[in-house]
Amino acid sequence: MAVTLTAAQRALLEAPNLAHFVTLMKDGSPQVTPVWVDYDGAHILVNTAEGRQKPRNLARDNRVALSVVDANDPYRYLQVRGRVVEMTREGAWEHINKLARKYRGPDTRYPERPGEVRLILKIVPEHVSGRGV
Amino acid sequence: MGVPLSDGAKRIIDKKNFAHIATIMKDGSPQVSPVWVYRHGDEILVSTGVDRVKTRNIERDPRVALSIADIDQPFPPVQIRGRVVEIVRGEAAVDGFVEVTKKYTGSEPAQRPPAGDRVVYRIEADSVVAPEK
Repeated sequence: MAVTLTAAQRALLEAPNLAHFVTLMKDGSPQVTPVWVDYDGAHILVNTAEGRQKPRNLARDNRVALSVVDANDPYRYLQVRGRVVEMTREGAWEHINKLARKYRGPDTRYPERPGEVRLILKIVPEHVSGRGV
Repeated sequence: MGVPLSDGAKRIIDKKNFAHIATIMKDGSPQVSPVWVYRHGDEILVSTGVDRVKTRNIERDPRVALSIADIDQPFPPVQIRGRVVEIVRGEAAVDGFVEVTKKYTGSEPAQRPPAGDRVVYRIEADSVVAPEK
């Protein structure tokens, strides 16, 4: 079941902290990478590109997990388990540029690569835990 | 035997960067949490409390993945997939806790925790993606 995040949990996601995002490989083993992250009030949003390992894994199994540590206080962290309920191209370039501004500064644009198709992954949080949040 | 770590992987692991370790829950879904990490040569070591979901998960399925982003330059990160080859317990695990506490805080822990409170995961990497240098 979907879980609503607390204000402190949302704040951790809205600050420029990296999330470490897990998907499942074909053999059921985990794969984890750092990603930029965002929250839209109901979903945790991750931005990736078509053809990468993450969307390939998610097409097979939509179960994911992520953890985020507060860059200013390592004893505050958030752990989420949930599901990707939607992968969409719609608004994905605007979204990656929004994330670039959040993580790299207001004048940043994400470098466009020829042929790259960006995707927004929409994650519904189902189990949330952590410390200090 | 596992695959060797690049100089870049060693450099990022040896700094006070958190690792995020992914494990597999009983139902096959992923779980991820921040941990202290250190290494002996090419062997990756994680120190944590004994009574943790991840320890129970590893006892059932030793396949893990680690993501480590350098706090000063997060990309490219270190991404490791591998297996826990041993869960170290008892005094040896407390020694590991002392070693990793010195790495992250610069000093010994205020008191040595009881044997039985700590475990160390010995991780052999099957795949390492990391900067060369």
